[in-house]
Amino acid sequence: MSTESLDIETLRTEIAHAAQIEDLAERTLEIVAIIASVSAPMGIHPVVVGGMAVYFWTERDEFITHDVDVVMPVPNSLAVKLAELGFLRAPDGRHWTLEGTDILLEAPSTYLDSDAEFLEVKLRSGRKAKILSRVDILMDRLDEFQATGHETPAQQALALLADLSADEVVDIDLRATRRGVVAILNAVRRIAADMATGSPRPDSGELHAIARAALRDDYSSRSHEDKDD
Amino acid sequence: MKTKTIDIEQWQREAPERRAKIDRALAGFKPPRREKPRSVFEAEFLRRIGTPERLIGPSE
Repeated sequence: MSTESLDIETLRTEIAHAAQIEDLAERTLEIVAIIASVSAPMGIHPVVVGGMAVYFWTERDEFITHDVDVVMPVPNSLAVKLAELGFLRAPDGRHWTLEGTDILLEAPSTYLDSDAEFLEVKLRSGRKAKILSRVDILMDRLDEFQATGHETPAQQALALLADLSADEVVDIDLRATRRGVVAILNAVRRIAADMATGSPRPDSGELHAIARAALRDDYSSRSHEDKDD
Repeated sequence: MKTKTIDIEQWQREAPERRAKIDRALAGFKPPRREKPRSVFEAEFLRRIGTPERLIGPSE
């Protein structure tokens, strides 16, 4: 047996064990870390984003979806390795399932913001996995809430905002302007402050109105900036 | 590009405090129903593994 095939066999065993880990966030990160161990020699470093990143940061069962969004390019060489690890590629080309488990990976052809930040999680296996920073995932959710007025990203933004560290507060205040989410960030902060003093939670219609107003404010401030330039 | 590092065991030890803060922030909200569309493949897979419809949401 060659060294390479032995490695793949070992990794297949490890991925099967990882798929049995009870804690959803830990299970996901162990699996992504095993993928990273085969992709890193190709210069590819997967980063967990999307709903699973929200779940990691908030641990709210109501946000669980079991699909794992991972930002990484998948050239043919990596597709071969993923297949060797036991992943089956869906006909749409961007989804991967792990045989015999409820693991669903989505690796769309997207890239992260150039100033995106990450958290590297050291796992019990000794491996490390990367996940999008809390500030970056918060900005994603603010963006989505502003664009849609939907309750899910609004609740997720409130949850993420609730546990920001002092450094993260400074970071988001610096980066929100560049990302175009200042107005919606302020709006969500107002919701949080109002609820903390006993005001009722906003209903769906109010959330849509808040998002529309923030979008208008953001558009208006950008127009002023353009005129000033 | 900045990367911070944390140990999973430390992260799990801090979980109760984190959950309490987030519980307070979301008090009064009901679990949300996803409104953002998913691909048909993804929706079918999630349905097959028993994901509640509320979390699957509409399909494209």
